[in-house]
Amino acid sequence: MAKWKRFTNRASARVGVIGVIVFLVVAGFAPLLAPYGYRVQNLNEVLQPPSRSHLLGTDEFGRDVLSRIIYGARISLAVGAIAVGIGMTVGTILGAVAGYWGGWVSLVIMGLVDVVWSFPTILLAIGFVAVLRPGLTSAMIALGLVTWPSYARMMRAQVLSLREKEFVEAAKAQGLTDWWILIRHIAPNAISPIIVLATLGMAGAILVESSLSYLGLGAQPPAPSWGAMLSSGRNFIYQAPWLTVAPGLAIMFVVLAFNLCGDALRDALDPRKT
Amino acid sequence: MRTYLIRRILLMIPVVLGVTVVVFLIIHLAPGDPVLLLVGERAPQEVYDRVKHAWGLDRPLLTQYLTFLGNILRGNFGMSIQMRRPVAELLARAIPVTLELGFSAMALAVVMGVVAGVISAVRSGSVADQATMVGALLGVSVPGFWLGQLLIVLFAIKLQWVPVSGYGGIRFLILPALAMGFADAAVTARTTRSTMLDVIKQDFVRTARAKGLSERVVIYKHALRNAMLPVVTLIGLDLGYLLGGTVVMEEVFSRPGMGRLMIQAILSRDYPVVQGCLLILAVSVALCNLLADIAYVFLDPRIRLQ
Repeated sequence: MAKWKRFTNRASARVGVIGVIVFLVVAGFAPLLAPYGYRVQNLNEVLQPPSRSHLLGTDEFGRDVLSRIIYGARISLAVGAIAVGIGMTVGTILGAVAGYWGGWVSLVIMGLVDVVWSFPTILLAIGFVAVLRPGLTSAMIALGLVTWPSYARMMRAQVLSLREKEFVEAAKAQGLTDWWILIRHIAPNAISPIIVLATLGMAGAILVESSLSYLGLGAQPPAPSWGAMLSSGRNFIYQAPWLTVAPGLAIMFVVLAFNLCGDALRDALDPRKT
Repeated sequence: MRTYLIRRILLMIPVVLGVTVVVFLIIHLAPGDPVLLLVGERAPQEVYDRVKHAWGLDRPLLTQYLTFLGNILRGNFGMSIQMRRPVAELLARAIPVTLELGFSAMALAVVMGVVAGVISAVRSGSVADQATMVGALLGVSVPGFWLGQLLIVLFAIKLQWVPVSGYGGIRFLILPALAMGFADAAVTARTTRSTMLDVIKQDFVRTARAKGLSERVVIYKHALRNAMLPVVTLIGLDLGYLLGGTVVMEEVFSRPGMGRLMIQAILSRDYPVVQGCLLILAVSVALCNLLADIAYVFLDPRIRLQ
């Protein structure tokens, strides 16, 4: 309870949470909020600057930029959630196993962590997408596969320190099986830093996904991924500089919100500050 | 210390081997015939057979991997399907371009980041501190390629101070290095600030002040040196991250570096080039991590004198 208060007391946390909520609302209610469909072309009005009928202007096909930004939130949300979901699930399970049983199991798992760790995130994601064929699903899977090591490392460290505690000894004395102890007793205590990682991971996933679609490797046209919008905006950078502003602001806004939340969570849960 | 160093260097070998395994497997994970992926769909039968034999693709997987490894170690990275040139040649031309950007961005990031971090820590809680931290938070949240594109619109198109894109001299380097360096500077600033804050609280700083040393000497000669340790490690790791980040930035500014080479290879299914680029980049990152660890050991007298 005290930790929750510490979290909500910070102004930055409140801004972050509001930002995340706005993002979720926009993504969820996109069809209701967007003035036009994201695929609706109007070839009479290509590359129009912001105006009353098109608050953020139009792109090279006459599509309304504002609507595409709103629908784009869905893509970011989907990719972020699934990537973090995969990474967190795979990572915490492997990390817990490595931490609890140790020995050569831990050696193998941590060795795998080191190998994946040594690839820069973007590169490995690009590599995976290259193999799996560019597209939204590939991007999600690739991101999940690239991010699991940090969860594994964190979980292993947590389990290692919790494993020696008395409540574990007590549970074992009661005759509970290892898996039961792991899931019902150790995991709940280990979960807080994982949540911090997941929040920051959302921010990271959205950033990397935007890079992937900027390069043409993520969601494919006509999907209104923010990164892809920036990329095509680059082709018209002389005639339509406004196309460069909006999608980037959207990315920054969402990433900032998650970063603020993650930072505040981390500070709130930091035992050194008690 | 020597045992630590030897152990650390030895530890890199399985990691690098693991990297080669991953890169090797990529060809085999991709849907389709691996040989076709290496020679392209329109290659004549004799080329197909020759490549198949040269890379051992008619033998069991383990032999294939060993052949692959052997070829790599001899500098043979295969032939680019698209450009019909040895991959090694393409890599040799692209590497300097990437290195130039990577190092410049890192230099900028270190200078901007450390200075900002130190000022923030020394004036903790002040307006300067808060402004810097807000700036740093923005820096971490901003997509680098967007910053790059914005810089292009402002400085290259509206103000026309620098060229829009390309590779050549310093004029072509400023914007990309700034765009990349900014995000990195933000991370460095945050880390420097927090380590400096930790260090400043410690007893030896109090002693230095009690000795009557000027604040400047206290900060720069005593506190900073100790705070630099984790920052140095961070910089080493950063270099690896930067090398990966050049990928996108090269696309934005049309620089003919490894990142751009790799992207175009992916989009045109030129797998030998993709493999070569991944290999070089991943091994460089592993090397940077190693250097960072070694530097840390050398700089920390507590470990050095063990």
